[in-house]
Amino acid sequence: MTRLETISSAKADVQNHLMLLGNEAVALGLMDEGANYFTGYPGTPSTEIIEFAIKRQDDYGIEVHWGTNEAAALEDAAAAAISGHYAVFTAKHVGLNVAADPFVTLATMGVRGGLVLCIADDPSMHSSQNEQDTRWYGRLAHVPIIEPTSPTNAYFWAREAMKLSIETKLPVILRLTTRISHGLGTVEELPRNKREPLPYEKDVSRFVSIPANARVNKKRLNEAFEYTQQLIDSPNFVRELTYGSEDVGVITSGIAASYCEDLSKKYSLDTLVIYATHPLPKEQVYRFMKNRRKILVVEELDGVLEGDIKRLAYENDSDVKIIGKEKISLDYELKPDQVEDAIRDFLNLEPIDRTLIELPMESMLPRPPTFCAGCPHRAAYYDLKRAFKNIDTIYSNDIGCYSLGALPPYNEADSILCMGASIGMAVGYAKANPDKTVIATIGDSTFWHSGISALANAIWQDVNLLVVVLDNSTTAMTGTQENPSTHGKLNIAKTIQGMGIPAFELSSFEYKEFIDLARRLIKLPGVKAIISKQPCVIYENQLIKEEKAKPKGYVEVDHEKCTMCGLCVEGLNCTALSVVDGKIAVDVAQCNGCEFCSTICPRDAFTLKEVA
Amino acid sequence: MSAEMEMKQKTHQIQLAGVGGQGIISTGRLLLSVGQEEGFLVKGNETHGMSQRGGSVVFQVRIGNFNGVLIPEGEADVLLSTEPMEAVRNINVLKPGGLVITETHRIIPAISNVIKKEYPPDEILYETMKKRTANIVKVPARDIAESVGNLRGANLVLLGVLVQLTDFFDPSLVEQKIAERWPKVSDINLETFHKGMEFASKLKLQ
Ligand code: SF4
Ligand code: SF4
Repeated sequence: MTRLETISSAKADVQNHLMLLGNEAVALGLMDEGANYFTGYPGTPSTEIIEFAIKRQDDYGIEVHWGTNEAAALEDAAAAAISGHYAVFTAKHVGLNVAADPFVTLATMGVRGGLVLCIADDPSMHSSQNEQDTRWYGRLAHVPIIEPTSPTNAYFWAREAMKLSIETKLPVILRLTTRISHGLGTVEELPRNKREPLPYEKDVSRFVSIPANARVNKKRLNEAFEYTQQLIDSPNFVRELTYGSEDVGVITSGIAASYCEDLSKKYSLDTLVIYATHPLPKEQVYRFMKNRRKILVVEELDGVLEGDIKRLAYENDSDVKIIGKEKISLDYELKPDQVEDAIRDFLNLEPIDRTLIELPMESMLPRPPTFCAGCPHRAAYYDLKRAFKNIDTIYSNDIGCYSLGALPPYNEADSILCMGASIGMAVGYAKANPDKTVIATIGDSTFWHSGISALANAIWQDVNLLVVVLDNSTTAMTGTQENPSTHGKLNIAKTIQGMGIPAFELSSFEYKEFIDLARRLIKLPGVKAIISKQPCVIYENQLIKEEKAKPKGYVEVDHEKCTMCGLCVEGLNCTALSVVDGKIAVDVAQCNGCEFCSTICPRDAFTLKEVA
Repeated sequence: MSAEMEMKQKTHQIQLAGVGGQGIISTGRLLLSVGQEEGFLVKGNETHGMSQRGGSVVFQVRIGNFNGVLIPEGEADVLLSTEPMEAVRNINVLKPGGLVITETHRIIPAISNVIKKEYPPDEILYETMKKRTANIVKVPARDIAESVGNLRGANLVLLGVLVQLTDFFDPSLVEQKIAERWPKVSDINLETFHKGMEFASKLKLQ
């Protein structure tokens, strides 16, 4: 077994391999390499690493838990690794922004055990607010980066990342992207490497980062990075595919490399895949490119490798022509077709005629994500819209399932910036727009993540603001992970009351009471809060599936009573309701029986049918 | 090269499409496990996060010697859709002349009530698909599943159609994987799957 794809046709082989998501392969690889301490904050596409480690926690006898936010989680993992453990931190790309402060300084101290940061980027922003390229962070902090090229070899490279961290005493970034994290492939599991954590040792000069020590640490970091450069400048961290194209070649990494591998044979194109992309394995790369006329650098997102390779050519007075982002898109994830087009262009071949069918866009309907049938967030936005019908509002929204409140028919978002910004920005909205009513909507997980510190600021600044915490007691967007509100461990209403402002807990399904409360509160000066408390319907359905709860049933419509006023389909817009042949129809497979439609129907046309 | 080796060099690429919550991911994962059991290398990719909430979702199945997880445009052998408009949305992934298997039951996006736009008529949908291929199999999958009392079993009916109409998968292996995946409801799920195969076998006879 090598880091190479196991391209094997032997039946017995593949059958005995595991079928895993890239994220699961990463978790397994790290556990098999002795990682014994996992923490992070959920975020698509990184979440399943910790989720898989939770599943195997007992088998491996390891510590796994979610943190309240990425900074807290990284500090937690850092302390474990400084203590001598083999720690793992996971986050999505923007999560590393939150943890950037501990991250950059931690690099200067290094660790005593090992620390791998699994950071998953989301090119094309399938579930993200931006598509920043994490590879820049390695350069900012002088931290090595390892990049797998497929879910299959993610297992191997996760193990290598941990080994590299242990060897260099630096934190190492294992950089993933959506198609690796959420790709599926077969993985060959190799023997476990059991590692005993080192005993704790105090080392004040290293881990107390006051200026005098920090200056020493800066030198230490430079030396450790130099050592890393020597270590990874070996054929073990690259893979060369030779097809005899002596004059030209491709250099690639990450998911883009998997597309190149599929194409390089077809086009007989020599290809160098780089797995350790920071620092650049200079000798390997230079050996590959020095006698060629032209090199095509194929990478997703920014031209990071391209810049490094151009610099390498400059340092060596080489006149090899390096082509990169002028031919390969800077935006969004790369598609195999785009890579093929770029390769053909590079080889001066005719472009492929990819006649695509033109879709009848004028007739097609979009299908954006929606709140689930029975989702309490939908009810909350419905309530708020009616409570503040004739009031000039600014809705400062946040990141989570409830971001969907930005979409019609609710349209309750003036901005969504980053985790916790609903309350953070509300201060500025309130001060800059004293004539408007400012409402911040934020979920429970996001409240604990960073809303709480922003709330302290809002109270301190004494702005007029209504905070609506959409507390469904789970981190729902990423698939119902636990957070401090789960199982009632911490209570948001009590926490906010403890900060000295009025805070009331009420379910958004209590339509009249909710509206009354919101109208009453908005008249008070200062900051006040409603905690809209109602469990996530997906979470409830999971309990039903596990037979820990009883399904509520579904509603039926009395067409005699219904006047087709449209409130339930247009105003509430529950996905289980539609108009079929001019009548309201309930999709019983979708309806979760929340009865909110029944609450708001002026004609009382809905009745709940319980299921046996 | 032995016959065995040649078989292993075959490739199958299938795109599943539909709406979040319709069982696309479990169906796709099931196909991957069947391919793996047959001794192929398999790769797949699935939609997570935001779109899972009632939005358009896809799952790509690649069986054979591939490194990449994405099916290039115009290369899928089969497009299997649990919703007709989603079949159209994904039609360009299908190779010209490939096979479309689509549920006929529509899922009207809730947004249509708000933007006051009707779901496109069937003619427009199927005419568009026809520009890519003449091989379009329309399956009233939801009705068939409901006829055996399996309210959410449309995906299994479509799976039965796929297994019957192509020689990609050994039916008994698929049965085995269905039983493994849903141990508590394996009987009804197998029955639903067989209904799909039966539906497709009648098509062949026509
Ligand atoms: S009870 Fe009404 S609002 Fe609730 S899920 Fe069913 S149709 Fe939707
Ligand atoms: S809210 Fe009641 S009366 Fe209005 S359309 Fe819906 S069911 Fe009919």
